[in-house]
Amino acid sequence: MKLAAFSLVALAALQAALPAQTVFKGAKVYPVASNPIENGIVIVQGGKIIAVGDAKTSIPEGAKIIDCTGKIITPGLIDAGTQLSVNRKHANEQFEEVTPHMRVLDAVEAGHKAFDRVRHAGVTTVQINPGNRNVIGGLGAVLKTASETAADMLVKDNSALRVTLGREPGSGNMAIRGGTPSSIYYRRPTTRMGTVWTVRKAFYDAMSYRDQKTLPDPKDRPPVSPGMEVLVKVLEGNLMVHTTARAEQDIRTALRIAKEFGYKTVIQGGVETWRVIDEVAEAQAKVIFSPPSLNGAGNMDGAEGRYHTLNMMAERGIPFAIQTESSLGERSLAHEGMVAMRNGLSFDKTLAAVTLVPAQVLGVSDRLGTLEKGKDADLVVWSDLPFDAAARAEMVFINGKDVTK
Amino acid sequence: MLLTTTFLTTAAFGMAPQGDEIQKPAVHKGSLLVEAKRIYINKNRVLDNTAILIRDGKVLYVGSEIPEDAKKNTPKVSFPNGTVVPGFVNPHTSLGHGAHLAEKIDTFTPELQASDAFDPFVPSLWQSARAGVTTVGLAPSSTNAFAGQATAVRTGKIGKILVDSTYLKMSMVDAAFDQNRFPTSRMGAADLLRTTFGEARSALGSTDDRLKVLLDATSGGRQLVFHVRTEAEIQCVLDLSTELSLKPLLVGCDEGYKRAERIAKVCSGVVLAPMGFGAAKKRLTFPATLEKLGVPFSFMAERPEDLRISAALAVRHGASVKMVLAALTETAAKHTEAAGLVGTLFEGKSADFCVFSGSPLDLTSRLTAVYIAGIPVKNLTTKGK
Repeated sequence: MKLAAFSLVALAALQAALPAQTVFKGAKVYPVASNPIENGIVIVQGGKIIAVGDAKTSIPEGAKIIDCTGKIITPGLIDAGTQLSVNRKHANEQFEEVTPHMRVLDAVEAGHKAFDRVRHAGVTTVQINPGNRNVIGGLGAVLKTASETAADMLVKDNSALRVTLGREPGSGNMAIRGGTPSSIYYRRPTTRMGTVWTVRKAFYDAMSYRDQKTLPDPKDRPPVSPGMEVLVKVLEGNLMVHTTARAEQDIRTALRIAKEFGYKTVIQGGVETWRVIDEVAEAQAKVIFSPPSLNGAGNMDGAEGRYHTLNMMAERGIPFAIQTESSLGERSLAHEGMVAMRNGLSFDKTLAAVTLVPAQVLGVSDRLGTLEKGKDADLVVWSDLPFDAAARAEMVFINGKDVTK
Repeated sequence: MLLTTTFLTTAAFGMAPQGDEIQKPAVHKGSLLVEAKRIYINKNRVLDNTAILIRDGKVLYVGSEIPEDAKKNTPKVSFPNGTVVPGFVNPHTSLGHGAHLAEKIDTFTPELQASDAFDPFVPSLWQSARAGVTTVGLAPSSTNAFAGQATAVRTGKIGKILVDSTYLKMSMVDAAFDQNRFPTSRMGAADLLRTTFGEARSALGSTDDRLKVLLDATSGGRQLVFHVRTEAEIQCVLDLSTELSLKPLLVGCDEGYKRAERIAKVCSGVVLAPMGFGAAKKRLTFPATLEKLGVPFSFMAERPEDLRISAALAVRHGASVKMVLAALTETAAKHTEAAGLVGTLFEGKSADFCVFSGSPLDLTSRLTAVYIAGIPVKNLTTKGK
């Protein structure tokens, strides 16, 4: 009897020590990983989801209840490709065209208004990429969209290596024709051929660096090169490459180079995927797709967009995420989803393209992308279905914390 | 012979020898007794209706410590309504040296010394002295990420180097990102910092001048000073400092108010950029915030008269008179790495001081006299006499 009383006291003490529970009640819940739940319940504690279920789910005593009747709950949206908050000047270390070890995290401006802007539109996680002025630009980072410091926002550092094909890295460069180059723009590449040559040379250099590192005599080994170390990681399959390729020849080249050097690449951009859909499907590549609302407009490659590209990818089973490529939060991810739906993509596929698929592509699906027990409590309470033109993200939670304001 | 001399000296000044203790001669040719209504020795010691006795350019006695006979026999200068404060110190300025402090050929130049560019006849030295700024930190320009070593300089008609090599100046401001040279971006600068500090730490005992300077700055041998302005630049330096276990002093820090608490955790202090009357209120209250958080702060300026204006505005917006006066003198001397020589009027310190008609932080008070090493460079009270 005494023992039972003691256990009860101990249990009460334990419960008091646990962080408070919050219950979201009454909304239509879209867990993404499973079917939607009418009148669903989501329970959150200590920054994690501890239960997702229907109306019968038992509500713990003393929990804070948020009535979401008539609302929609989805996981926080994930924008797989942005340059959020990063000043263009600081996104590109233009001294060289191959800078694999540059970390975009050093250029991220935590506290920038752009984070507020996308968060208010329901985006809770973004990947930030280095700029496109270098052929191999550097390492991206996955961050949540609310906090005071980049370190606190960080979900995954060095998430992917950005390689840019096409006209972008060469634009503005000038050929050296004698004399003393007075500007760093007297540099390669100046053509699409030169861009590809630069990528291949970098990986050949990395292969020879890797071989020389294992030479028996330490004197023969090369000095440590941070850039080469990153490329070796790629060659060994320990780091994902995101290759920006918009026009069909660039998409083909991206896949060809990846095959040649035996690394995995995600196609970023992929505007003309509709032209090379077979090659992309065969290579089992994933695509982080350019903003559907732009439909290819505004890129330097003259890549031609088609509104049905996403539908084709869905039919062929090519995993794709939708990105906004915005740096100031000028494009809304939910709005891009709306454009995709308007052109025939199903609601489920669209929702997955801004939640689960980007989480998988970025390698963070163990924490993000769906509403499931044990995942980060990043969720959005919408006034309507998120891709409805009238939908508003009424409440946004990151790690269980209300970050709506 | 020595004995005779000692005997004669003690006899002449009427003092009895006490064991081995060295006796201070009470009267001397190079002495001056400075009397004033109020004298700030430092932030914790303020004396009223008192005097200091200076000799050979240094403070010898303070207040009641002055021997009676020394008072009688020493030439005297009196400011019956004046407030004496230590000469102001400006920890970070170019003194109009312009391009000579900017070695733009390379961004990694920690071995360069501002003292090598110092021109003792530059007019800004005299202008500084006349505005009450008696010591300055002459720093290499912000065009290089690793700009080089600063130097502590005494102002006046002819300037003089007090400490040859002081803090290591670094820069994260826009000027450091030349689009025709490495680094063109903050990413590049951060990478350079990571690599070079890593190299310096792993090369203990290295004879490489550059790495030695870096190692000095990481081990506390000299201060590491970062010039930053915007929130993004500040955040970048704070992140890197946390990552590399550095404790930097921030210079400029215009948007520091956005990150005050992090600055308090990571940094050793802040040298604030000049504030004008039109500055935003959140900037004007930043010194008060730093005071609350216990962060030592001082002021810098390219125009010497801006120091006092910034200080007065800091008081107007909540900072205490005590800490702001220290910011102009003692704390600034520490930030200049010349605290052993200047910044207070304690015994042994250089006799650099300003005389104001009232409180130095009241902008209606007039700067009536400035002395550097005991020599007047400005004295309006004796004009025409």
